[in-house]
Formats: sequence, C-alpha cells, structure tokens
Amino acid sequence: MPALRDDEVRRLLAYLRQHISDQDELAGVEDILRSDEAQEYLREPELLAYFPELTRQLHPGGTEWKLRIIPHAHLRMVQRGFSSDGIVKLFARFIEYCVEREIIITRGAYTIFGRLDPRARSVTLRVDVDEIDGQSGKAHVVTITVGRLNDDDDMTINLPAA
Amino acid sequence: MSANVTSVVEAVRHLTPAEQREILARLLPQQAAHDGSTVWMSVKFSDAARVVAYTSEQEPLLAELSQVLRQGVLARLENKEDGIYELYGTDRTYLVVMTPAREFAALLSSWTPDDPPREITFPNE
Repeated sequence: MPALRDDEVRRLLAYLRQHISDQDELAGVEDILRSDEAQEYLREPELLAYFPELTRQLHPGGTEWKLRIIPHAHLRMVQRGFSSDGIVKLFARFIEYCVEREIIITRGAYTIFGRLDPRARSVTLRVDVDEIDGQSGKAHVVTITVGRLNDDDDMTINLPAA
Repeated sequence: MSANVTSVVEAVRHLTPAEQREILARLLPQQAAHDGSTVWMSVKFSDAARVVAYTSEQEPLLAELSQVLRQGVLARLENKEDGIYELYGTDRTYLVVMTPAREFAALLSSWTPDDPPREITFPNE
C-alpha cells in the first residue's frame, strides 16, 4: 500500500497539531501517517473525532440550502488542501446548473464532476440530498476524491459489440 | 452469452453508466468476479468483520450491510487511494470506504438499484 504524499502528511499534521494537545498521541499519529499503513488508517474511524461535521448555509438559484460536510469528507478535505468554501461553491454551481436547465433535484445520491476553482484539478464530489421542497433543501457531502471516477476501468464488464 | 442476457445488454445501452452498472452487476456477478479484475471483485467477510456508518442517515442499514458482506457480494473499486467501493447487494447498492484485507467497511451512502446516483458534469470540465 503506497504511503501518503508529503504534502498530504504536512496538511494533516498541521491541522492535527491544533486539535491534539497530547504530544505522545500526536507523535504516534505522525508515525502512522508517515508509514505505509497511512492510507488504510485514514479509512478507519480513529481520527474522525478531530474532524467535526461542518455545516454551511447557502442560497443558490433562489433557494435556501443547508449543506453538511460529514467528518470523513472533512478529513479528505484537509488531506487534499480543499477549502470548505470551494466545496460549497461547487455545490452551489450544481444547484444553479440544475435550476438553469430545469433539471429536477430530488432526494437521493448525486455524483458531481467539476473543479473547486477554474485552475484547480477536477474532483468527484459525492453528495446525498436528504430533503427538498420548492424553497429549501438539505444535503450532505459524502466524500470528495481527486479526478474522475475510474470510467475506463468500468469497462472491465465489456458490452458485446452491437 | 445467452440470447436473454444479450438482449438485456442491448436494452441498457441508452442508460447512464451508473444505471448500466446497477443492472449488469446483478446479471453478471460470477463472470465479473472471475475476470481477474482488480476493479470488480467478490468480497466476503467473516463474523469478525468491523462494519460502521459514517453518517447517521445510514446507521439503520448497518445490520443489513453486515449480513451482505458475510454472505459475499460483488464490489467495484471506485477510488483505489481512498478505498471507495460500491457493493451490489440484491436490493440495495452501498457506497463504502473499505479495506477488505482488514475486513473493515464504513458505510457512506446507499440507494436502491432503480435509483442510482445521478451524475452531473459541468460543461468543459
């Protein structure tokens, strides 16, 4: 299992130094983050206590939305240097895009491909819409990954030629 | 491939990739699982597995997901670095962050096969 990149380790440690006062605990976490076990460690719940759920209010397309960023997504956001403002803006673009094109947003899961700013790398944002009516909605960010889904790899199940 | 399966494959061509996956994953699990693929694979956990939910909305589904993992399920690796997988149960698809070697899975989201995630791509991105 590959280790985390140096920039990812630096971001996580800079964040955790502000939230973990026990130096022995912090040293232990740093050892794991710099090891080959780091990717698997970040999937587990141990560190999530330090990444509280974030809540943001926004008003795209004339509607009022409450967007939650769950602890797992918060951790990935810090790891990759993504700001919560960037994620909120991407979600707002998604709402505005649907409103402009008269795409009806309903409860359920959405996969949004886009960029957090024009010069940034593309990301895949997984969002669940929890509630929605004509005036307001509630949703939460499930996770955010760099790049698009493994579209090429999806073809491992090959459709026969037409 | 039998004529029936071929006709189904033809019928789903107009669907989105997510919709196609929901159908084909349930039609061809054995073939896919034995492809030697690192993207599509069979996953089966023991009674010692750890299964948790990372959102309160998914907590009611934990027992069901644990059962699915103990019975064995077809999985598709969506993001290798983060360990993000889709698990195709009979009546529900689960999005999890998972380390199969550690028999650990954390439930992130789920949906029924007839309501897969809708995909939005902004123009020029």
